[in-house]
Amino acid sequence: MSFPRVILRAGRSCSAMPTRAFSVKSVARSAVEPTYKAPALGVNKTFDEALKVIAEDKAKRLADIKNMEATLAQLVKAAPSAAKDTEIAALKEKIFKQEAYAEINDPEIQWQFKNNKNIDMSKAVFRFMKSKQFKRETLPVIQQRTTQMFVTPDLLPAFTPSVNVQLDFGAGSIPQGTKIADGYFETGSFLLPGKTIKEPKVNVTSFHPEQRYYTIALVDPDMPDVENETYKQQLHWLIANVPLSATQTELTKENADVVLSYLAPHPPKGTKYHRYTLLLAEQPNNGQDKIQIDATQISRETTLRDLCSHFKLEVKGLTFFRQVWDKDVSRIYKEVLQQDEPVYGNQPKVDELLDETGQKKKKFVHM
Amino acid sequence: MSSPFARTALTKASNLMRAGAPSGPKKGGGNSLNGEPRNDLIKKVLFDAPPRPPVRFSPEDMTRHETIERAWKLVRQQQKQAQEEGLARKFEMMRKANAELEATSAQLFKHSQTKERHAVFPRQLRTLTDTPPKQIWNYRQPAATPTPKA
Repeated sequence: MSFPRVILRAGRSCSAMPTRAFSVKSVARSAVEPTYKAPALGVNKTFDEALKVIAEDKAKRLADIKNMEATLAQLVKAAPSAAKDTEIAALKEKIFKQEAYAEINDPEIQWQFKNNKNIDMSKAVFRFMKSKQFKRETLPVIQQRTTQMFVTPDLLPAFTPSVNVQLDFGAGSIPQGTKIADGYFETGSFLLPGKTIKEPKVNVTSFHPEQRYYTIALVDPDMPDVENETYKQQLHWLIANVPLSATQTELTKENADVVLSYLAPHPPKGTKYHRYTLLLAEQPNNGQDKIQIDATQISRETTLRDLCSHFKLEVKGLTFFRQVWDKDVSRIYKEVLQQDEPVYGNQPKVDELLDETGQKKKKFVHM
Repeated sequence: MSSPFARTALTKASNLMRAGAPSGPKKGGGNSLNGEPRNDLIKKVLFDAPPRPPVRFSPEDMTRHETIERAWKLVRQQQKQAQEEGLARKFEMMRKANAELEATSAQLFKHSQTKERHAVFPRQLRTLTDTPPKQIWNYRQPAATPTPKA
């Protein structure tokens, strides 16, 4: 860049060279997160009028919220009845929507949602926008993958996730060419066994401001069961009483109870791909009850349906990845599981046209 | 005003329209479709106007545009809401009136709720058309006097 040299020359010799108007300060490459700059007023009259309309609408909605909160306070004090709880819930929902609509048209809020990586989820408007984005962008993909790979009929009945779960196995765990959303792998992607030996970071995007307790389970439904000629489920990871909310998005094992520690996925040789499904189940009483899971009650062979029915859990979020045998799986069997590695194959093909001796079956009997 | 729309105020299309509009006394018997010079003008605007270049927005302008679109949507929502409330009020008054009539007299109520079975549309209606003439009815024309038949 020749600009600094040009300015030095102009200062020393005071020649007829024109002084540059811009500054020569260099900005660091890894700059701080950009801040919102409001568009200038007076440039577009329609924009100025639009801001007035939006401000008026906001004031009206805030007044409406005040009235609704007053009626809510009265309702809460009133005598309990069957209809009262539903009325209170409906009114709270209305207040939430009004809070969201009051601020959603603000250009600053729109900019923050688009450009800020850590938006304040304690604000109703951001929770509203995030939930809409989840329903529009992420949910169809999850539903399509889970129905296509038959995760839902096999593990649990079909349901609509209301919470977004994402796994992070660390740098380099997502193979090249795999679609990525927000830096996490897309539901149903193939991951390498060597990259999933260590337990992942679990990121949960929920939309309720209050704290609720969840149970996290990682299930492999495709382990072969040779005696019954079918497949059996294996629980790779079980954690209960995980506190989560709109602002509390990461799983921290210190706050939760690890019932079954993380077991590295190990699809045996000869089996087709395994679908390692991570489920997020809400605990009873809207996530307010803590549950106690003893080691005697469950094992690594417990099926998910049994677990959910026994502890009255409701599955709210789901994600899964697929894996296929690799040389790293042999290593996992040797070092982590310390077992002999099983190798599966098909039954020998029986030719129906030959008898036991290998001769062609006789059609006619010699009388 | 440095908005990207400044140029649209005086585009070639509107220039053509200004040039095409008859300013002086109209010449009789133009060679236009159905005797209407307006159809020629429409064709000129549609097919002879040159294509405009795409509008380029800076991020600031984009924010302004989106805010304007949101505010306009809000205004239309408010108008629709007001209209709906007005209609609801009218419907409620009508319903109350009907209920009162029903309570007052059964025969009158039945008469108000039924329609004439053999009603027909007004046969003297002028045929509706997509391209009406410039002068629909000559109000200045004197009334026709009946010509005496010899």
